[in-house]
Amino acid sequence: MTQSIRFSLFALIIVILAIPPTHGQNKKRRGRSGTGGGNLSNDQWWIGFKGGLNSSAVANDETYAVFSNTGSLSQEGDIKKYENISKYGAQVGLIIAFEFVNNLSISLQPETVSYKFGYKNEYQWFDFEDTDNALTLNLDHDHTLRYFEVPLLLRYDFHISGESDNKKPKNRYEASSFPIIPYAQFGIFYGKLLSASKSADISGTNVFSGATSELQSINQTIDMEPLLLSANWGLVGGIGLSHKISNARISLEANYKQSMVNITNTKERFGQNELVTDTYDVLDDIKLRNIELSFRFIMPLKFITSKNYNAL
Amino acid sequence: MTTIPFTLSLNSLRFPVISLAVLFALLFAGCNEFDENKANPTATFTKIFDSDDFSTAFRPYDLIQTEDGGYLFFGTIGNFSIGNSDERPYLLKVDSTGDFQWEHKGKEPQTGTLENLIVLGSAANKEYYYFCRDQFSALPLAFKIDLTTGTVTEQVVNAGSSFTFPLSVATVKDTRGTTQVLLQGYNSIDNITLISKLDTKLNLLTDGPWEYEIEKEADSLVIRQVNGFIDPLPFMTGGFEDNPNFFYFNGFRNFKFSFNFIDAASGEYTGSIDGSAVGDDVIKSATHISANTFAMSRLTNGDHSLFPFKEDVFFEAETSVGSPDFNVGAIPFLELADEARIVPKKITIADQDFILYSVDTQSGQLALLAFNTLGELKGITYLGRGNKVTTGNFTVTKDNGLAILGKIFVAGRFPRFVLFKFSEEELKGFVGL
Repeated sequence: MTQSIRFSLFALIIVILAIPPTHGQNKKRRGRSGTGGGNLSNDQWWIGFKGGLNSSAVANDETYAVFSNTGSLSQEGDIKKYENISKYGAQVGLIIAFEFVNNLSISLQPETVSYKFGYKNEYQWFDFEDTDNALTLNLDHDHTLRYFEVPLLLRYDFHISGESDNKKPKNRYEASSFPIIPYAQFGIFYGKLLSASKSADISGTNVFSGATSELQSINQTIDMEPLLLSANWGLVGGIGLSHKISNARISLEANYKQSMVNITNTKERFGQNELVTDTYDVLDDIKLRNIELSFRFIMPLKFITSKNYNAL
Repeated sequence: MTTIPFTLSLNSLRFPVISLAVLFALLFAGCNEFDENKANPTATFTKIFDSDDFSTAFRPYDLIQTEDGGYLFFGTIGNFSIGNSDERPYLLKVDSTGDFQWEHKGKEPQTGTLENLIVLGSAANKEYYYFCRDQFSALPLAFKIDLTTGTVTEQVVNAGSSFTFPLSVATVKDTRGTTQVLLQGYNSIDNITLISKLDTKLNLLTDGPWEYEIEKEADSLVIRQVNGFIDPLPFMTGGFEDNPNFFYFNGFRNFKFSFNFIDAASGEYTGSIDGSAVGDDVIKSATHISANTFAMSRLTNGDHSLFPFKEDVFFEAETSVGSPDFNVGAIPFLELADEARIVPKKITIADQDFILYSVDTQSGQLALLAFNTLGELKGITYLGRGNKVTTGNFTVTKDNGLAILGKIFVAGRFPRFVLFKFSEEELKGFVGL
């Protein structure tokens, strides 16, 4: 917890450092640096927030198991059946963007993200001398990982002219004739683990002397933070659609994230004794792959008025 | 053609530069963690050795780390539906990461498996053996294990014509440092405990087995145990590295189940720690530390006491487990299960000696207790929780870690071998170093 607070403060300092020294009207710069669109500077700061849902898949580079099969009778239940893109997490965060060239911007988007993924195991035991005896054990493992992430994205807006080239905006202060602006973005992200938990549901079927009964279902939830690295990084890319509302912009975007490192703490893989002996489970070497859908709202920090005193 | 206005000043680069710097700083800070995230797969792991056979039951006794870094496990394999009397010797060889290599299941007439693996031969050419009993003749059987192929070859054991019902086996050194095999047995016709001293070819070194008379009443106890009808009595034998003039055996002698000291040259009884006549108040386990100091445990009608630093155990004196003098320094350990298996061993961690006990608890866990050589508890840890885990044996590994062989009841019912491997760092942490 202390570590999370320390990192949050660190991130806040980063954000503060990155914010420009003046807000609102930049009187000194007005009329100096612009080359197009009158005397206006071409750079612009945007600030806003984002939120949405995501779903994860797992790339397991190397699999690990607690069971070691003996002899010709092999227990195959330790093969994990991953449930990719089937559980939903959420993300919420801030956006600080800087448009330093027309249509091209760079943004820091500090956010908290929860990732969810899971897998199943099914173990079976058969009585080869009395076929009326058997046991099936089903284990359903769910993981929830919460990170504080700082993505750094480079974004390009595709201003599409509505009718002819004459309608194409000369710069961003002119509204596009097309109400929807598509964009693409690409970048990297760094994440710090805030918390992680694992839930294992154990159920099964017991066949004894030909009579079938359901085993009492058991749920175990543990803190799995020690089983993971405290940090993660990867690449992110996506596309979106933006729409202007007065000075603000709203967007809907889809991003794909790919961890570039194994997030499992390999030295602690077998460290949770109860997890190993009760649920027969250890983490594979895994990299997260994630698709997120986010709604964004941003507004400019430089409010510049035209001759008609309209906000641009 | 519209010209895209382009202005790029140092000021406008401030945010991208800071952002990139921050990201790279974060990545750099995390680099160590990313780079070091490559655990040695042989250092720390847990493995459960399972098949999908519903009715098979395993009982672990001993393990040895082999020259290839892997492990040889020894125990028994039985069948739920037939009962303990059908337990046969069982060998399981795994590699250094705990992955299965081969297994060997003893067949009829092998029964009455003795709990120790025996290592003979030279350091460069070790030979591995296990001992058991012929189900029909009650004579001792020995098998040499080929680690490469997983096959075993029966060896002729000449322990004396009167030697039957082998109960325990160990290796000792004589005064010249030569390895000998001590075999403890029981002759039910004459009601005598037998000790045979064998050479490394398993031939008798004395005129005959040394004999120690016992009470007629003990006969039924021994026979019931070897037939699997009662829980095992703690038969054991062994020697002292710093004193080859003596060895010990734990078993029936005279009227009681006693921890007996024997003159290694003559086989004469020299002293003992006497237990009860029916084996319900006895030395349950023991390991020699040095001179007259032992680490022991005592079982008294289901209650256990630990003696992690038992001094003044003289080989030429007679005392009783029930005497007040003997029980000075005893640690009553009520947490232990009634029929707990208790394995004490002296191990060295970072040049310091510790006594490590592996025991079974009432809550179905395997507990490890570490004492220093003054008998002070330096660490305790538990293995297992929902599924019962019990003690088999443990050994210090070549990487100065610890390998613990236990039994886990998979799905709450299937007894299987489980190996817990701890690294040197974990072992140091366990004893507070």
